[in-house]
Amino acid sequence: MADTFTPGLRARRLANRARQVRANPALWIGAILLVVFGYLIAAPMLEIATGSARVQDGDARRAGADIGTWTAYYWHRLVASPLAETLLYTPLRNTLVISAVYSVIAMVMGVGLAFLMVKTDLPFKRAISVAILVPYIVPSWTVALAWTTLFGNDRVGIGAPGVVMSLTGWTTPDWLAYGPVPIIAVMAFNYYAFSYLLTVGALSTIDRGLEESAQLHGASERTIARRITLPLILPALGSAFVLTFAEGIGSFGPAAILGIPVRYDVLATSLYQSAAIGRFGEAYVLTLLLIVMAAVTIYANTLLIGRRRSFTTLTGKGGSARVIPLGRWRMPLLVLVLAFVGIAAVLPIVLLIWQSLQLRIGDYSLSNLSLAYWIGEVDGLRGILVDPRVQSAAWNSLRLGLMVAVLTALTGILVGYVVVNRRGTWLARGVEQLAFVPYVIPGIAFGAIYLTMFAQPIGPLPSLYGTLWILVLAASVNRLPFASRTGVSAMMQISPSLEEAATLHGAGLGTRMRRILLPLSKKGFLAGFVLSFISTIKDLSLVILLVTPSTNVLTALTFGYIELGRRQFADAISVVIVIIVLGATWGVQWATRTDPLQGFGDTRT
Amino acid sequence: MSRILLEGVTKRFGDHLAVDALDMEIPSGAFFSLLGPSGCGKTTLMRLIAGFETLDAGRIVIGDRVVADARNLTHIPPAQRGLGMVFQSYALWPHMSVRDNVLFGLRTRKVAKADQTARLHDTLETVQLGDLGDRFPSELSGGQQQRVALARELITDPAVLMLDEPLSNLDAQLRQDMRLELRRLHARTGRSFVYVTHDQLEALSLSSLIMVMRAGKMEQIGAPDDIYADPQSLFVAEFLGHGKLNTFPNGPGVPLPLPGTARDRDVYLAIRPEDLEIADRADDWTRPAQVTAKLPMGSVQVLALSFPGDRTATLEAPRHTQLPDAGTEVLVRFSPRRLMAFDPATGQRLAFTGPRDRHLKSV
Repeated sequence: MADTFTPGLRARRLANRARQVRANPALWIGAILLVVFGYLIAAPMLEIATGSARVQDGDARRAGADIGTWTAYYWHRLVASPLAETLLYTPLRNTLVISAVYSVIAMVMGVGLAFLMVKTDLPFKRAISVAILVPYIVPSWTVALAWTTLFGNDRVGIGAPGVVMSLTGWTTPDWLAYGPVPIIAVMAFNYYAFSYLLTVGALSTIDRGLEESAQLHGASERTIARRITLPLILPALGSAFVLTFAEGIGSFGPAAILGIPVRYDVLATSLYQSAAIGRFGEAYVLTLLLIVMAAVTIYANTLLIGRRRSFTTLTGKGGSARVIPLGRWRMPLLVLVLAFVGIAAVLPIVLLIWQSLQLRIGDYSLSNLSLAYWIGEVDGLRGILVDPRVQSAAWNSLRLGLMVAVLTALTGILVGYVVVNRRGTWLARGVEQLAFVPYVIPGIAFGAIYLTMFAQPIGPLPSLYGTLWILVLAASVNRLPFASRTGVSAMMQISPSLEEAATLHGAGLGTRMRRILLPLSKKGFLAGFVLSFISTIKDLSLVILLVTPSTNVLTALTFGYIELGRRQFADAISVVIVIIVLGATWGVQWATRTDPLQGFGDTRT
Repeated sequence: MSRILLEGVTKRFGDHLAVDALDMEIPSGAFFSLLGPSGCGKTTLMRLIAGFETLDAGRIVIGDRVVADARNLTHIPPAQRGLGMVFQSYALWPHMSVRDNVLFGLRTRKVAKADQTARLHDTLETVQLGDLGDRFPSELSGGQQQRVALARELITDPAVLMLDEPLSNLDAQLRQDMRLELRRLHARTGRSFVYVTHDQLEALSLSSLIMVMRAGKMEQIGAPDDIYADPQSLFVAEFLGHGKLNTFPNGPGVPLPLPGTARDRDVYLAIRPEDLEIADRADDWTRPAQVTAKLPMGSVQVLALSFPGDRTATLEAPRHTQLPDAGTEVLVRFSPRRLMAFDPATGQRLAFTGPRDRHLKSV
């Protein structure tokens, strides 16, 4: 240790250490990510937690304490006051019931379809498999809109009769027009594709030998399905159920459109309404509740997946899955599947287009058809294609989508780089886990957090409220868990020696990224890019609290029209959004011959 | 000058000591093999020399230049150490053609275009891949991929070429061809080769110098013949050799009249299967045994022997030798020139006087 006294040694060590860190990009990129994530993810979480126990602006009189002081006012109000039933317990009950019931229905639909598509000789599989995923790309609230167009009556909600009532004269009951039943139905039709994708994934990795040996032992197809196939994919199904359930807890769109008009509240809509009228203390409590509920379900999922690993070692790469001939059931099942796909994928869009063309809503006669809401003018409001406000919102949506896609795809790759290169270190764990945190924050809660957090200037950042940047930040962080999953799995597939070989030949970080890492992770990068773009364009719950007139986006604009009761405008914009997201998905699919949608299944498991 | 000098080189991964205070020198121009079982630290040692890992203690000198020194944290980046490295997986970039893979190093070094073309041509000829420049790695066989990986390193003419188990992904026939190829390349380039392998046959057949590693420490270093004939520890004796080493305590059943220092203490005896002989008549070094099985194994044949006291051993002989059949009682001779004695506690070689005891000096 006498060495330490050698003159200049310490300075030399320091300089060499700095050189080493610089030569090790995973280290400093990781450090930067950690700081940025801490700022954008950890800090807001803390803000929410403390905010729920501090007197918020404007509540000093009601809470009986000064602004900023600690208080139990909000928690008491929501948990134990006479108002607790309306403010918390009813929405909580509704949320749980809706999530549970819709998850079961979505699972049955998704798993059934997956079985038919993977394990049977159903005809036209290719075409059907494209259509099956349409509802997943289409925003859930557009399906909700379509529902009211179909089953609306003249008594509740917007008070316009839907197709069924107009054509049959039968006044559809209120429970079918608004409230829990339609919410559940719409959510199930929207999210079944999720369990479908997970099940398809699980089914196609089953080693066909496992089933064939049962067949050799004389088991019938039924027995094979029940005793072999089902148990093997059971963990995947459990995982799909839990994640579908978690998705339902924070789901905002369908409940907003089909619940709010009849005062049927879930937690997400309660949170929205509290935040929209500036009652942030209560919004914080509800946010925390949503986050905790989501976190618990996600934790349950990791438990399930942990057990699932033991299964995947049993299953090999089975090659092509074993196909069961359907025999005389082939045609009836085809008709059933086609009918289902028609209802789930085609009907909502047709209904939206139809209603957007009605001059007077609910009048289904041909003479009522008009392009006024598209290119004309109604009650001083211009048609959406000629309205500068819509054009600016469309421009905002596109810019937002592209910026978020670029930002998240790049961040995802960087996260992957750090996590894979620093594997096993606390830095890698910290970055990976922080990047996952937004997964448990429902979009609406996220909006509430960022709204208060970035309403005032913090540190070097000016107040971002009223700029597009707050949307970009919120949406990017919201997408981060998916993007970093994609990034990590893309980087995992690149053997470290491929980068080391380039390092050995003197390629710097830039060259390695440009010539080795990016070309090799192109597919994952692109998939992440498209998924981020689509999700951002169609998102409602995240942006609804953050937009201002100058930063309006298409989805929020649609919601504004809905709240104004201007349904045809809302319908028309919805159709535009659907065209954009479907166009983007299929465009990329066609151009790259890859299927970005597979990523939906991958990134969530 | 491209000798490599390691002084007190140490590397830890958490609690695991991967390389433990290692001192050694690799002479310039050597074909040097790092031999050891998986997990012994040989790949880590190679990566330390290449600069992909940082030292926890000690220093590394290549030529006259200190490339790594834990004391003042010197760490010259891999690219500036004048090394080439062939990875176990070859690490060929799958999105680049053979040409782009091989030219990568020249391009990052900004070598002139004309020079690039000439060197590409020469190098591809050297590894016998003349006209495959436009192929992609996925379109090549394992052996061809191996050659591309070699070409990619050779083209920059590194002073030291490191090879990390380069033959382990090839089938037996190809492995043999590539061994000859590597010998040829080593002779032709005159560069130092540092070769990591767990295959003793590869190490013995290729190297001019072998270091046997065990648990991060040097077990023995020397020329292939010396290491094989004169192992300094039971570990080295057992690790090298293709039949299972016969080992037994010098106790009941086969007590042998050991000379010198080994006589009056407990020792562990070992003899290679090919060093056991069937004797015609009894002497001090023969013991009776029964043949329990006779196994023809192609180029050699193996006898399974059973001695009194439940001791077993195997004897190996060339295939044309006349050997007794199973069930026969035979006399087995333990040639004192071939017999090795080890300390039962430490596994270290013990000396006893005999014609082959050159190692005595060092003990």
